[in-house]
Amino acid sequence: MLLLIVIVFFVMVNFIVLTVSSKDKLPDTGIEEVVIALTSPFQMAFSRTLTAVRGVWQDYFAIVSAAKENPKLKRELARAMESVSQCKELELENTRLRKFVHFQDIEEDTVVAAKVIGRDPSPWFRTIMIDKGAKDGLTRGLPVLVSEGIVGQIVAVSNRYSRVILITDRNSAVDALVQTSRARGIVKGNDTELCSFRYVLRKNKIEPGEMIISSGLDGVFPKGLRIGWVVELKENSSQLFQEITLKTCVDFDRLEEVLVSIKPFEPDQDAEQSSELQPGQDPRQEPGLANAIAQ
Amino acid sequence: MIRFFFYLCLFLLFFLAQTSNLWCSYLSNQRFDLLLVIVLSLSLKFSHIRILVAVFLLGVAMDSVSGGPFGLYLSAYVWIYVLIRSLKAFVHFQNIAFLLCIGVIAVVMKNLFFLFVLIMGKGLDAVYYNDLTTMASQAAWSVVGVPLLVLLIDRLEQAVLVMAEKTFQQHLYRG
Repeated sequence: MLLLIVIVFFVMVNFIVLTVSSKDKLPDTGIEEVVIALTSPFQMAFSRTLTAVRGVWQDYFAIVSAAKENPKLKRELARAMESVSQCKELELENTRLRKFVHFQDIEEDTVVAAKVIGRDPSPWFRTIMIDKGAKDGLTRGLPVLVSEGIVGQIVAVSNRYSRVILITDRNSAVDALVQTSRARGIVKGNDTELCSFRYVLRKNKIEPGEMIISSGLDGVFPKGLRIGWVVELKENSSQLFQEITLKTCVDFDRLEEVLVSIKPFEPDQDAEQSSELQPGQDPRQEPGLANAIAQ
Repeated sequence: MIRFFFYLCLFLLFFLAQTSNLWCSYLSNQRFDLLLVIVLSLSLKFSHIRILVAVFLLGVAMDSVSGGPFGLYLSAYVWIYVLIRSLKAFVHFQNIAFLLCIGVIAVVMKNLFFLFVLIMGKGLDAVYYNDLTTMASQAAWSVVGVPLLVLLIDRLEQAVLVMAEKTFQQHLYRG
């Protein structure tokens, strides 16, 4: 009887602690930091070895196919040389236009490049570990990006390593816009490769294939970063909002390096206004970090 | 001491395999937690209090690298250990039927902890249909995977112990 009472007591205590912990109300104990410091070097070494082995394997196949492609590429090179001179002209024109629209280029010291060294052991949560931490100027809440688009946000930082929650995690949400129609909504992760684009009014006409970009209103991600494209939408006449599914631009299975934007980001004051731009207005005229990274 | 290093290496191997880029998202959803196999092996073979400490440390390690709330792996592992310890008094641990059952029970139990935390943290809306399919596929894989891995670890451990014994005796003989 006493044993039963003790077990019930421990079960109760355990579930209470888990409930509190699930609401993120438990104070940080520092244990995580110690464990991460102990395990991350192994993760980093393993990750690098794996990348090297993959590299050798891919290089072998690359050499075989390169030999076949060589004559064809030589012909293409001649054609490319012609277009290079045209590109030079366009580059100069681009520089002039950037100055004209007061485009602020990304300074090199505003992003920190980091390597992905580990993934979340559980399929229930989508997080990754990167090899940069507080020592490199990273703090909790900073946006993590790649040239293809948004990766996620830093949620925990130790001295040399950080944990990033991916936008596909169910606890993730990004304020977003449809690039063409400027319809606003929230991109929510659902623990698969697909995300949901929620709270988009039914009156907004959206087509599959349309690009979803960050709105800059959440105070985390700068405006204009690519998130994904619409793959499926359902309109339910009894509901106020549409059900939109999107495929992320970033392939999270192949993520090896990321950029962390350490520049303090102020929510875009104009974003609210520009989110109400009329359909048909050319969104490409808007300067954005994603465009800059892509360039 | 040799056992300690054997399980430490095993932990590192499973830990790295589980947190590396080896798996694509699809496979990652299907596979069960490999560390569960270590917890089961330890719980089945040993009864010493130090094993509880080891299970506790495994939980802490996994909680530290996971994006879930702290205590999730810890609770799951410790309660699985307690359950197996009470069950093994009745059945021999190499009984295949027993291994099949505890494999599924352990995987389902761990996933139920995850489900509990999700519901408490975000409400029922946070639970999707694919969570249930993930849970089902993990349980299905565990039917084959867990007994196989537990038995494999057992054989491997025996082989390592025999090898260590031989090496020790050779050194003793030379000395």
